[in-house]
Formats: sequence, structure tokens, C-alpha cells
Amino acid sequence: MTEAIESRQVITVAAGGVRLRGTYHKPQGEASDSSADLGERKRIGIIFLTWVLPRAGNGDSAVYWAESLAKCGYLAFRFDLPGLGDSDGDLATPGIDVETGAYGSALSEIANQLVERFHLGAVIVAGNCAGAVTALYAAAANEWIEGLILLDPYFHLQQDSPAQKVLLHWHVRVIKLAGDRFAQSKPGDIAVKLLSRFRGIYHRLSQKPLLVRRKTLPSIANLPLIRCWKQLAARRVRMLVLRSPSSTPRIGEFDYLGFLQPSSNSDDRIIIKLIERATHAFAESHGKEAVRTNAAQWLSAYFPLTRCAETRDNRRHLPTITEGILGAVTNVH
Amino acid sequence: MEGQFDRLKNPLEQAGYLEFRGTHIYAVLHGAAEPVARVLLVGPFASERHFSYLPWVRWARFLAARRIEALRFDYRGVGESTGTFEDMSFGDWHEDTGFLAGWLRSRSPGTPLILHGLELGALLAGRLFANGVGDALLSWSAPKNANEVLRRPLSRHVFKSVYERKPLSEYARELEAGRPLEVEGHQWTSRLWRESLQFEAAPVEGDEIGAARCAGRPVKQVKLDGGPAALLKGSAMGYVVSQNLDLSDLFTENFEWLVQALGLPQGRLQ
Repeated sequence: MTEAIESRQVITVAAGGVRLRGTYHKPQGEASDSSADLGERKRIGIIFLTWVLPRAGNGDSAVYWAESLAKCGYLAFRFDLPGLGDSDGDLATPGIDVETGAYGSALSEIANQLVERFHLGAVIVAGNCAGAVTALYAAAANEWIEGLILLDPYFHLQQDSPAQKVLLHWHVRVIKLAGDRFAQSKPGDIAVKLLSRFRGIYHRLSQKPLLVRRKTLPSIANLPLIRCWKQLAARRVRMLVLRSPSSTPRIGEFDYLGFLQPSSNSDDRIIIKLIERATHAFAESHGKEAVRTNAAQWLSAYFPLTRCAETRDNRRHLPTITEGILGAVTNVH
Repeated sequence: MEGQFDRLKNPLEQAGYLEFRGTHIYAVLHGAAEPVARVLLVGPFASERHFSYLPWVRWARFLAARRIEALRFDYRGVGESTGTFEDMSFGDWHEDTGFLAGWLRSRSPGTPLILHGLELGALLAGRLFANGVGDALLSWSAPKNANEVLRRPLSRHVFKSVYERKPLSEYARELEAGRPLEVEGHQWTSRLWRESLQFEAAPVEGDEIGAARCAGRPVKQVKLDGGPAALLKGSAMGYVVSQNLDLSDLFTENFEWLVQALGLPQGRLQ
């Protein structure tokens, strides 16, 4: 069994006395280890966080993104946090306390160790959902983290209400009915079609940007996380936020990104873009590709490398790319 | 509680790649000093992998802490292994299983080799076992054929793609007609779907569920339909139900069966 193959390597770091496992995707053309080819360029590492999922991510999306960016010359890493995936450690509580930044310190330690071991000049963290929340906490505590790619971050505290549990229960039952036996029958076909109609009407009615609240933070707002965001904005950390339609606020909901962005984006350091037709996991080919393209363009514009052919090409067209990304801000609902 | 076992850091736990047919299979060996047996853990289908990943790791650690060395892996084209998912077939994944069983057996040919599969893994391990590989077979939630494996993620796809207003039967017809379908981030080919209809479980002598034998070797089949173990399959909506499932009863019961079936010396590795 070998730890390293041509394009990747299994690596471990110790965080808080716990062995964490990850995969290192070597930048194209680079030799096997951390000491090679330092050159004069700034080496940039990108850490992908898939949060509770194994580090390959949903539909192996994180593997795809890491491989793609490694081909552009970035050092890409995917890690399992303590108690998750192949890493050691224990999940301390039945519910994972992500909203208070419980895993921010572990991620920060990972970043520090990668900087030292791979001689990195900067670290970018990319995370989805709770992974994005963890990335914000870690970046607030670690100055090596100079950029964030946040996929569907959330800024509220999760609250389990009895009503939600009932809804969830029925949601599950409907899916079970939509499964094998029922969906193959005539009534099943009709039920699926009816359900799709109702969901379509609900989504059309509920996505009215003017009826979304933007002024006063609700009581379930995650204030420590919002403070982190503001701190990062003040530190001028660059952020690319990609949203799926499922995370856009609906009638009566609070638009956290709408609230946070204007106050902290005087120089377009925070870019927010809606990815139409993507799911929350960004795992299907459309979402996967959109993340890859936007991340590559954003990195190329703000964290450029000198060696990668694709990056060199992008830099020649930097104004176009930047306009393309910045123009997307208008997509925000 | 199984959580207690997680805190044991096993210095003999090693992750890496094994080359097979031009690709690299990612595997994690949960080693044990002086193992009394070895077990190959054959995991579920790609779309189901993340639901049971953590319990699967914990089960491997549980066994290694009791002197049963465990090897788990990702099929080619899935997770940490290299290769392209859409190029793969159930036949390829069956070959992966055979290759790794051989690799594990070669570490100490005299030590009993157990094949243990979950869902698709149970189907593959069962077929390999029927071919004479392994000294015992433990199956969790074994399907009758590979098509049964594909129907679960497909039913989730029906729900998630409800705007397309297509029932499961229509997707199945399209796949049969030769159109590929992307399901939860994996590109299913028509070839995979058609193969799944023919890829049957190997027959096992004795009771359908419970202890049985195959050519004189012990077999245990567990359904995982009730209690926390049922959550190993994830929710019907495609979410990981809980990261902290307490599966200590399931683990203990199955470990005891292995000990008894193979006549292994009991005792935990310290």
C-alpha cells in the first residue's frame, strides 16, 4: 500500500492531539513532496471542507474541484475534521456544534500545518453549508487564510421545533411513497405530478425578493458568526459566495447576505453569485461545474499563479473575468 | 458505548492506494498486532457511501481493537479511488473485491478471512464467497440483485427532481432505452442499469435471514430494518440521519457471531 500516487497523496496532520486524515492533490507538474520546486512564486493552498460528509463530498464533488484546481497549479487539500470520515477523534455531542465554531480551531490548525509543511504563502478555504460556517470561524482566527469560497453559508441558529419535526416526518413518508412500489403505479404517477405542481406554485409564490426582510436581524441570528464576517470584511479577506436557489430567502425570511454585503463590500472584496439550477450540495454536474468555473476565475483574478497555462491565460483576460464575476452580484436575490 | 472506542488511536491504521488494472484503489487498513482473523469490509454503492461511512469506520476500529484486522476501501471510480465512475460496472467492482480479498489473504494465508458486505457490498461479497473465497460471510442488508441497489438513490432522485414530473418508472424506461441519467452527482449509464438487472445475489443454503452455511462455511445475514441500524442507510430523503448512531448492540452481536462461527480466541487487544 502506498500513500502517494502521481496526482495525489494521503496526508495526516495533528490537530488538538488528534490525527486528521486528508488528501493532497499535487499541482500539475510538481514533484512528490512539500519541499520541491519552491521557485519564486507564492504557493497557494486550497482546503476543501465537506463537513459531515467524507472528504470526497457529495457525488465526489470535492474530488472534482480539488483535481481541477490542482491542474491550475494550486495545492489542493481535502480533510476530514475530528471524529469524521477517516480522521481520529470523537464527536463530542450528539448534535454537532458547528454554529458556535466548534471546529474552527481544528481547521485553523490544519491551515497552519499546511503552511509550514508546504511552504504556502496563503490559504483559501472552500466549504459548503456548515463547512462554510466553519471556514468563517477559522479565517477569523487565522491570518494565513486570505480567501474564502463559501457555498450556501447560513447565519442563523438551527432550532428544532415540533412543527418542523412533523413536516420532516411527512416529507420522508412522501418520498417513501414516491419510491419503488407506489411510483410505478398509475396513482403514483398522478401523485408525483400533483406534488410537483404544488411545489412549483409554492416556490413561485415564496421567492419574492421585495417581501424578504433585510433590516433587523432576527432573534435566531448567529451573532458570533456575523461578528466573524464583519471582522473578516474589515481585514479585507476576499470572499466568493455561491448560492443555490434553495438558499435564497423566501417570503418572511431574513436575507442575511443582503444585510451583510452592502456594509462590507466597498471594494468588491465580497462577491456573491446565485447559481441557477444548482442544488444545495452543488453535486450535480451543473452545480459542480459552476463552482469549478467560478472558483477558478476568482482565484485567477485575485490569487493568481504565474506558472499554470490556464491561469496565465486568465490573467491576460483579467478585466473580462473580473467583470464577469462582479457582474454576477446583481444576481443576488 | 461505541464512542469510547473511537478515542483509541490505532498506530496500525494506515490509509493508502493499491494499484489495480491501471487505477488506484483507496483503502484503509485497520491493523491489529497478532490478528486472529482478517475481514474485508465491502461497502455500499457510491450514492449510499456517505450515509454509512462513519459507522463503517467505527466498525472497522471496533474489530481491529479486538484483534480482527479490517480492510475497507472505495470502489474504482468512487470516493478516494481513482478512475471514472461512468466507465465502471458491477463486474468491475466485483473484481475490486476479489483483488482486495486476495491482497488481505496474502498478508497471512493461515489466518481466517472474513468477507463482510453492506448493501451492494453484501451482494459482491456473497458472490465472491460463493466462488470459494473466504472462511465466513457476514451480510448486512443484502439485496437480491444490483437493480435493487440502484432503485433507492433513483427514488430519491424522483423526489428531488419533482419539477420534472416523472415517476421512477419513466426514468427506468429511459435508462433501459439507452439514455444516461445523472443521479446525485454520479452519471449512470444505460449499461450500468441493464447490468444491474442481471447481476444477482449468489444463493445461500439454509434460512434466508440469520445463520446459514455455504459449502460448509458459516454465513450470517442481517437485515438492518429496525432500530438505529436501519439509519445506516440514511434517510429516505438522502440526508445523513445522525453522525452519532449508537450501534454498539449491532457491533457486539456480530462480533460475537464471528468469534463463535470461526472459533476465534476472545479478548481485546490492549
